[in-house]
Amino acid sequence: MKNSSPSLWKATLAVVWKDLTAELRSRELLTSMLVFALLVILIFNFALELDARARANITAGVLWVTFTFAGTLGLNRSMAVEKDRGCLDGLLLAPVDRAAIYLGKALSNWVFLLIVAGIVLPVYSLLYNTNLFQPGLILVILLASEGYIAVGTLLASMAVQARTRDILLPILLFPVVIPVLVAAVKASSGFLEGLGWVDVSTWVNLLIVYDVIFTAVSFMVFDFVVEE
Amino acid sequence: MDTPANTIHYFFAGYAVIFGSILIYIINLIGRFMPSSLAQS
Amino acid sequence: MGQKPKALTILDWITGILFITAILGVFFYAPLEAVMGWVQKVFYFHVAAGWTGMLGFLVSAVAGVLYLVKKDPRWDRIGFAGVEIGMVFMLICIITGSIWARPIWNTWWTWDPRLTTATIMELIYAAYLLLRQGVEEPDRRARFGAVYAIIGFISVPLTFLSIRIFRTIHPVVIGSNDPGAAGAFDMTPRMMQVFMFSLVAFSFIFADILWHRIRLGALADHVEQKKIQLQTWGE
Repeated sequence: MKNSSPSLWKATLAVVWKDLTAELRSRELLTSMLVFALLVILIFNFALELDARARANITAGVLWVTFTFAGTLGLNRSMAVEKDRGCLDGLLLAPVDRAAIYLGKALSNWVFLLIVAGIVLPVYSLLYNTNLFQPGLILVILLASEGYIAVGTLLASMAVQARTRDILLPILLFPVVIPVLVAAVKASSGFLEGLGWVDVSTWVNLLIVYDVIFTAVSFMVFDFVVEE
Repeated sequence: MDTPANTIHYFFAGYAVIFGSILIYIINLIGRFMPSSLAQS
Repeated sequence: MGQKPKALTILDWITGILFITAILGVFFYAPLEAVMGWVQKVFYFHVAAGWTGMLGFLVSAVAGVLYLVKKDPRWDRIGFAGVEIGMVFMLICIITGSIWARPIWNTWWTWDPRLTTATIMELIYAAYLLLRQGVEEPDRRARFGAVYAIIGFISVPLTFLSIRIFRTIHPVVIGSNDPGAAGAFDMTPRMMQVFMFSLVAFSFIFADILWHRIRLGALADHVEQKKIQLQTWGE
């Protein structure tokens, strides 16, 4: 058994590599996520009239709504592509552990979301003349996006197999990730307002707890979602 | 000693909701039960 | 699908008697609360309905785990029944809470942790129903439902915690004396008796409806299978 199938880690990396090279060639996922994210920020600019004073409090909220929406778009697309081109079946037939498929898809989705965040942050800083590159905020983005993607990858792989798949993912995902969003918004605004570690640590801890629990559970139940 | 606030209308509304909802749900269950038992025979 | 079991008929009767006794207890036996008056009596069934709702969601999560392990469609029916009953009673809990809040907190709605968590739970399980509706194949529907019931139920305490860290004005009636919470009151022994009795009565209601609902699920599955058989014969 061990000799015939590649190790979990190798298989995971292979899935990630496949996704990244495919994306490098087509660029459709990242461009649509990015354009969408920038549009959301643009709409918020007019909807909330983001002036200099209001901005400090609202920035965290706007950022997380942007990431959440762009994330759903990316997750849906990433799993739908697998389903439509029959890649999911191909992957499932491959002699690798199903866990590797989950880990690989989650990792590549995470990378995509982080790339979007990595472009949105400087653009936002530039547009509104603030500096979002603070270590605290980056830590929050890493932690929160991990939890979001861990659940999102699992739920997206269910949603794409349903009849109502295009509308199903946000409905399934949003009520479950509310703790992530609450904690991420509070922690981000805390760091942006320059509060000390003591005030923010509760939220960071909550994010870590969520990440650990939901990554573990999603990892365990993914097998049942793709089983045929 | 103050007399209790007059909140009897809210009391009636509350229990109307409780009984009403349970009743509607049970009627709904029966409604779903009957056609399927008919279809079976 | 056999005859209605005798035990179920007995349970029906016990439940009915307990429920009527609980109603009489709340209306006539429980004393009138000194400050809030009559509306306080909503509290007994409000908490009991919330308890029943949580029981339903707990049952669905446990049945989800068991389904994934055993692959027995019976567990899927139990899980689905749990969600449905849980939603009905959680909704009762939210609405009665709102009716209670109007005279006491002077507002229909506040973004208090329990209210918000209860509402998010309704949304989670509404999503559960939509997910089931979107999948036609019974086996896959059951697997997806089980997975989502587990994920949804685990997220509830974290949601509660995250909103809790924003401050609360909800009275904590049992186990804590926080004089700051508006609408808190000390329960007299009689109130406590009625309260505990309501919890027991509602647990029986839950068990009774659950049983009926599971039988209904079995019947519906049976009919669905027959229909599929008829279709395949027709071709």
